[in-house]
Amino acid sequence: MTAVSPRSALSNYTRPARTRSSRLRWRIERRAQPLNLGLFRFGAVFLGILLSLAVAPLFTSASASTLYSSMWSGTLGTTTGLENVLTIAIPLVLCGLAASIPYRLQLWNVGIDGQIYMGAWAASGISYHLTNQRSFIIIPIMLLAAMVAGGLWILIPTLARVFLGVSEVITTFLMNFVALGWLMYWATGPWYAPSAAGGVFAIAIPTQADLGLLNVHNVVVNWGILIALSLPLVFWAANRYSRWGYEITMIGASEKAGRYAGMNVKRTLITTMLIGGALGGLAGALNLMGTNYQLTPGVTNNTGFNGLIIAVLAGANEIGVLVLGLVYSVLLSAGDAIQVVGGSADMVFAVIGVTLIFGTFGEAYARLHLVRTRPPEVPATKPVDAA
Amino acid sequence: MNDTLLVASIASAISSSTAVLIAATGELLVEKTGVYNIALEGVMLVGALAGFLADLATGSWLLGLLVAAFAGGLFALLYGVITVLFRTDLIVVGVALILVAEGITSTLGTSHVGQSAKSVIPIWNVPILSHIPFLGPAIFRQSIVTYIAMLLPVGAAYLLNRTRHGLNMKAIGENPDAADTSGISVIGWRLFYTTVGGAFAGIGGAVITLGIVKDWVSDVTAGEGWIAFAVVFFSGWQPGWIIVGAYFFGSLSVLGDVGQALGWPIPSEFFTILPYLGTVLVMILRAWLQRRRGAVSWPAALGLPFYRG
Repeated sequence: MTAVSPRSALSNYTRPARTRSSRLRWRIERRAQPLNLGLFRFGAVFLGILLSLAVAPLFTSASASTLYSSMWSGTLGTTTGLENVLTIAIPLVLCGLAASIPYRLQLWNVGIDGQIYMGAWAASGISYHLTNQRSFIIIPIMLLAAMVAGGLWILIPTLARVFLGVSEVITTFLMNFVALGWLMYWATGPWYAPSAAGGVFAIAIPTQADLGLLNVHNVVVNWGILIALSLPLVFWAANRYSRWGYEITMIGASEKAGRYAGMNVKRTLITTMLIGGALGGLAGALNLMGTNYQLTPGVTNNTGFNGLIIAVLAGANEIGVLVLGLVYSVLLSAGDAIQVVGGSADMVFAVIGVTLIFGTFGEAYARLHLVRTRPPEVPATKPVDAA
Repeated sequence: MNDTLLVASIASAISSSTAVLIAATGELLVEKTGVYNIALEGVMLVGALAGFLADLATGSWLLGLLVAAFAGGLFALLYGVITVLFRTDLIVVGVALILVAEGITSTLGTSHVGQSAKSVIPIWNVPILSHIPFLGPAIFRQSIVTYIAMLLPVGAAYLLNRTRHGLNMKAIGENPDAADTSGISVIGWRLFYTTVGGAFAGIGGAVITLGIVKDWVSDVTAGEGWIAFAVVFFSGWQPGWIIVGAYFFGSLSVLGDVGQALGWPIPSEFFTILPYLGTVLVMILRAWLQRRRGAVSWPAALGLPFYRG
């Protein structure tokens, strides 16, 4: 007689299915048919803005009514407010384009602030040599110089990305610090202008280089606004109707497909990035010639980052960039306005970040849904009979 | 260059690399599981302010670091939930959270700008080694956290290469489908390590406010989060190279002080941009060398959202 070991006694015992796995569980899954991405993204952005407005009084010492009335009068409620909004919109829309055009190829231009610095620097530098020239000569030359400088500024990260696969997200961003250092060197060194108010300012650009003013129904804005309003339309048309636009759409959808179709993928990637850089430089020049009139680090105020956000929320659609650029200009002007009643201008950055997160959530909701399912039953294995 | 200056420069280079070293090690762990936290700069800022405020409130740098780790971890978990769970774009959310962090920290920190930390991370002279003539003062008279930071990549290397869990982590980053099939929770571990990496970055930020700069100013991290992010790319996802990258950055950032001390006829702005420009150039150089060797080493699923089936 052999002793029955407890182990063999259990050999006919089938373990009951684990209760945990057969429970109903929440899971996030892809929708079979995604909802309208753009609609949900835009909707979520506006929801985010409304929510931020609703909680804004909690973060400031001012009363809600003072806060809202100062926001209104600082943006759309008064002529000065409207002028502020439109002036801020000029660089913002251009930066939105500077990010959105590379973004169509899944390329990230995170270095727009650097391109703004370099554009403004180049425009200043060339204007000092053209002090005797008339406006219609000096202004185009300055704008051109700014675009070349912005394009050159993104050249090294672009080549590194296209030929060596170095992430352009990091390199373009780090180049911002380099551009700032470069600007500080010129503004505190060779072009230094003593300023009574403090802060770093270079010598003012010649007055005939200042952008002229437009007066529409007593709303006075420099005519850079015409560039900001028309360029999105130009690029929208170019993307839809030109060969370049077609190549971008195709390569953006699939680099391989583009290559098989005989397109020069590398050339398209490079030109697209350079155009993005040039637009960043142009934004810098317009800021310099329209608002600052002196080279200063204040020539950009996170405008590049905000432009990137606009481009992403607009889904790289140029018309969307224009619309969202105007919306965000209202937000930024409101941020400036509430400073007077004790709000913090930095809070606007947080608000913009929050709206961006809302936008991505909206897009996620259009793509994904939450389902509650039971995992499929695992067929129970037959117990192995002892031989 | 005389000896005293050289010693002081080396010591300063090592101490100013600490924050980047800690943050980059944490980021390495995150990226090994296939997620990159591009909001690192924001996480460091949050940690820097949280640690600083906790230090002011309690007068203890250790509590400051713990609070920084907690705040950084929480902020990174938010990033993880938005990107990993809801499968949104890493870069978009990263940029958004950096802006959120900048806005919140500058707003909350306004009244503390320029204030000094109450208790700073103390210096520990290693008993015997600190008396070695040249090397002692250069290397072995650092803050306690600096020594720990040096060991972190070693620990990360051990975790990744010598433990079963480390292999699972790498499996999640290289082939999440296979890992999922073998019963590893891909989403769960990705969220876990995003949080851990955030805690590292939070401590890194607090090391700046409590050990390096020792006070609070808006945007105190000044791009160090981005440099830590770049150091991970530069390292080729190898812990040993993280140390090299971080100390390379530290050396560049003290070069300005050396130049000033020796009266080099070079504008100070050049030295300010050197760490950033140097990081870019080194990344390009390394990619070029790797291209020639034909070795590409990033985790295969890095940055890709995970869907089952």
